[in-house]
Amino acid sequence: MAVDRWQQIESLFEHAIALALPDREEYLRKACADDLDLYREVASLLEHDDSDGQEQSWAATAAAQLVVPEAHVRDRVGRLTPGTALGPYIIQDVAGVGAMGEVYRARDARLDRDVAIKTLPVEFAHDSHRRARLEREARVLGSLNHPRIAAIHDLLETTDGTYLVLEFVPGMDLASRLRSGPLPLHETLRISHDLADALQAAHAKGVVHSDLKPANIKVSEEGHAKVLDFGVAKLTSTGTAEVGIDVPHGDPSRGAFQTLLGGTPAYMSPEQAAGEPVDNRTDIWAFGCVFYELLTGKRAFDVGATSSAAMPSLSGLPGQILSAQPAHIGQLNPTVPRRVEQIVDRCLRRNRDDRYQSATALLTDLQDVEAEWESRRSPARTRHRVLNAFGIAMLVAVGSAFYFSQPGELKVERTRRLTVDSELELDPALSPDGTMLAYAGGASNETERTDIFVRPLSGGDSVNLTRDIQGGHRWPRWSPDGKVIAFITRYQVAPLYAESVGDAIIQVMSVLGGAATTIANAGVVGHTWSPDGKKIAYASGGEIYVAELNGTTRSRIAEAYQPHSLSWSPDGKWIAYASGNPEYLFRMLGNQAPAAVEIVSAGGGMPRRLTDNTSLNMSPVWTPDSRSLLFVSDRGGTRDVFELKLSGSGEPVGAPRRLTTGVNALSVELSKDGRHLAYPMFLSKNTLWSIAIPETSASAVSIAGARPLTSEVELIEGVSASKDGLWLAFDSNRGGNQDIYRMPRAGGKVQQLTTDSRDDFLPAWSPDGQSIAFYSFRTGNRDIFVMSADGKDVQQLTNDPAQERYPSWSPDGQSLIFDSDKGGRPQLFIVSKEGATWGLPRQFTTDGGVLAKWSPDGQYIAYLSGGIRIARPSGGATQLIVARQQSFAPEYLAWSSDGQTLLFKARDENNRAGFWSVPVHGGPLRHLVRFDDAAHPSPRIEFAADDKDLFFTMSERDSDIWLLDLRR
Amino acid sequence: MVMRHLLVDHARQRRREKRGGPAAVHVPLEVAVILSPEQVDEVVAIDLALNRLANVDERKSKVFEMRFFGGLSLEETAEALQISPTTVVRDWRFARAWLRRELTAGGDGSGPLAAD
Repeated sequence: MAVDRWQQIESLFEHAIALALPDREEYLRKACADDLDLYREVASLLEHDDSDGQEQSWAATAAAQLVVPEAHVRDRVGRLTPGTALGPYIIQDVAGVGAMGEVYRARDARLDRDVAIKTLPVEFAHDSHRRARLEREARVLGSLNHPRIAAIHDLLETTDGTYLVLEFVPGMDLASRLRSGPLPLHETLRISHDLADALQAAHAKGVVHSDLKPANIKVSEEGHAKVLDFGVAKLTSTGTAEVGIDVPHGDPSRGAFQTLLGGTPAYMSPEQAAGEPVDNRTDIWAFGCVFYELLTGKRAFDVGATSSAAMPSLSGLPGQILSAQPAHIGQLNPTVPRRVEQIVDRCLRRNRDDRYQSATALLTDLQDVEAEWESRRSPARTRHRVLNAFGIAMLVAVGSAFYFSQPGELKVERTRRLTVDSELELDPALSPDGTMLAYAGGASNETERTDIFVRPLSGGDSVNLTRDIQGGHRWPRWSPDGKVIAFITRYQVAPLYAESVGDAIIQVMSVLGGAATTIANAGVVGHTWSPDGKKIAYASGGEIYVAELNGTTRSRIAEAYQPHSLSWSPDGKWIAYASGNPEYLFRMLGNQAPAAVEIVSAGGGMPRRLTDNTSLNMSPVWTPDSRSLLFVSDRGGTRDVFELKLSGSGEPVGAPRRLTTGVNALSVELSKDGRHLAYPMFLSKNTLWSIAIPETSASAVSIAGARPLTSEVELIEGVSASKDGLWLAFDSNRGGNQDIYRMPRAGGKVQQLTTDSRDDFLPAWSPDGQSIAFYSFRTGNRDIFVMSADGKDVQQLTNDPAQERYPSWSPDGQSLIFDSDKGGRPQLFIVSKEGATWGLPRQFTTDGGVLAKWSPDGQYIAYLSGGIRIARPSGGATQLIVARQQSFAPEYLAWSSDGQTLLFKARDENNRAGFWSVPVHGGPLRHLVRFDDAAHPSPRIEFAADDKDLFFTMSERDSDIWLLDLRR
Repeated sequence: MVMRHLLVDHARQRRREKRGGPAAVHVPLEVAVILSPEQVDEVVAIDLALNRLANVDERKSKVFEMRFFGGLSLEETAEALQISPTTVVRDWRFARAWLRRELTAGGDGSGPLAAD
């Protein structure tokens, strides 16, 4: 057919359908003049036009059935032209075209406002059943009444058809907005919050959207979202499963086919694609798809047109939904926090039983993230540096403990120091009657072995309660009647990393002295009295227990992630605790690894997280009214005291509020009347030193010969020496948060390599000196990264919620071995290069293993597991070279340059460290260096070695107890 | 468009089966769920009719294909084909009328299917 002819036909058709029915024939006849063929052509087309209001008879052909459902569902009764009045509504123009028909913008003449009018399929007019149902459902929708849901105003039933009158929502819809790419995180969070809010409100009334997608979401100028067409899909279902809600009646196959057409492919849940009924979790799936798209700018399931110029394709749609995996969000947008990714993942579980079961649960997690995001965005994470000899820092604390606050709110009134000496005092606890102070003290900087002391608060001599009791004692807790103190005793030095928490028990002793009774004896890391004094709750491993004092019963009430530092609410309902970084509590390090505050019902149940887990949040204690928690957090830079209010049902009210500035509290404890807060002001630095490896024949040297390499007040954890002898790399918090730095081996300018606001640790030089591996919190949990030696080209190597640490290179630079707690118990994993990229990690040990180092010739891997072990990189049996004992615990190792000897750091039962060596193929141990300077202990495990020197850290610490007076 | 091909291929397979083709035919599960035996012929007929439309007006046939087979919204179709939504509305309406006419005029709905 000639092009012009076709265009003629097209044009005539178009003009004709714009006319009212009776006028069309006349128009055609005139326009076609004497071209009878043309007339017939257009007339026959018009005959088959489905918008002229006449029911066509389709029974003639089965083929038409495929086309007809569309028509039946989408039949429109006349096209509304501007100016047409529909009851009190005056049509303005076509606002858009939806799946079911045109959407008009109209003006409500009575209320003088804009509305949106949607035409509904003509069938409703003829079916009283359906009409009644429509009215019922419209009423439910009408009751939705939520700021995030476009309201339904009216349901118009005219002889011409049925119309839905809806709130007219101006603004851009998300689909248009997303054309320019992903949205910034804060906008995404706000929109997602609004959506979850809308879902929660609607689901509460039993309304499911079932067609949630960006095209259905409008965003106002202020960035708030509103959901359109809530429940409308169901409203307009023709009784067959248009979007899978109702059980299809009539022709089942027709229903199933319609299912395919009804929903929007890219946002269709697996159950919809399979033709099953939908429920609220279907909306959660769709929410996940939208959330994904907001974060990455790409569809999670790209089932639909791409914007390529060529003919777009639609790949097997249900198959894709049922089996495809969306690309990792972290790969498309690395700035997305891990926690957010987890939320999206949980929405997009194929089995709806694995998704969030309610919008409320989803909303809770979103609010968590928002609170965390807010706190991350406020004060830049600059650490106030601990200045020289700690003297000035104390002045800072005194001056700024007074903090401006609102009337009615808790505020600090006065502060004073309670203990003054060169030893470490920790764990203050005020007696219930407010007259006595108990604390753990008397430890030198070095041994960390403390006793429990009691003295009058106003001053006077301290009494050592545990002088005659073996072990090191910490965390005195007064019983509610003030007669008895429960504390934790440790018989050996707590290991820093990976090995079990070891032997730690709870003992109870009368304040007047005397014998102690054991209450619990299994790796305890925190305990608290019940308000009635009859029980003690404590944490051990990943569990929280409650033990009866008079009796031997104990019951497990909850499982949590590394719980410690417990506190029982005065009303008896809740137990609050810290989750994560238990080393902070029993190793006096002041380390910065993150921890969150959580609560669990004292009767048992699921823990609830109250704070983020990206900063350090520790030592929660309850106010007397059981409605607030005070805790230590470094979210603003220094470790300070914050208050978090809670509702009666244990939900956080608002964000944590700062009470102090710069007090460097290690923990906090509140008096019974809530008017005094005691805390240890803990100040420390951990700096870099080196010492020459002694000659083969010499005996052990003193640490006094060590030379300082850095002079800042900082906390350094890991150090690595490059193989060419030119560089040292280390992590430090000198710049505010923990970052990787490098400096010339011979001394000189220190250069910062990482600048991410999250902490980075443990740099490891690659053998060729071109790259540095490290682990970082930037994804929200510890993951392994590699960057070039100048700090650029950062690559993420692991991507899972487990904690990966301590990466170490193979001599050919093609592999890294690292620790991961993926299965619970830390094991070694290896990840290797595949061409230009890194492959997936594979597990190397199955019986536990950490802190591995590859031999220089690549033949062996040495690591720690019950002592020092040697293995072959290919696997197989391992050999124990040095066994771990109570009096001698190896904790970190390095190979000598010739690969014949293992150098390692070990600690004795008094926590004294030393450097040792052992020949790999048999031979006696050699003691290399003695840490015999009490003023400079070395509490951390990490060190590095080159052929001449050992590089390690040593610490200076001070801790005194202070008291704050609080007032409302 | 794979969806369309899936359906058409499936339909063709089924027709072959009817005439005694190979016993075990691999049919993607999702497609099997969709089509009833009755619809098999119709899908093929639509496919052929659509091909004929494409010969005279490719754009309209694409619009129909995306809307009908793909279930894309008007905006999505417009974006994919780089035309305005109003054009999509017009094309969609015209194509429907045209196809219906083709299908009803075809009599029993099964056109010549020599090439199987």
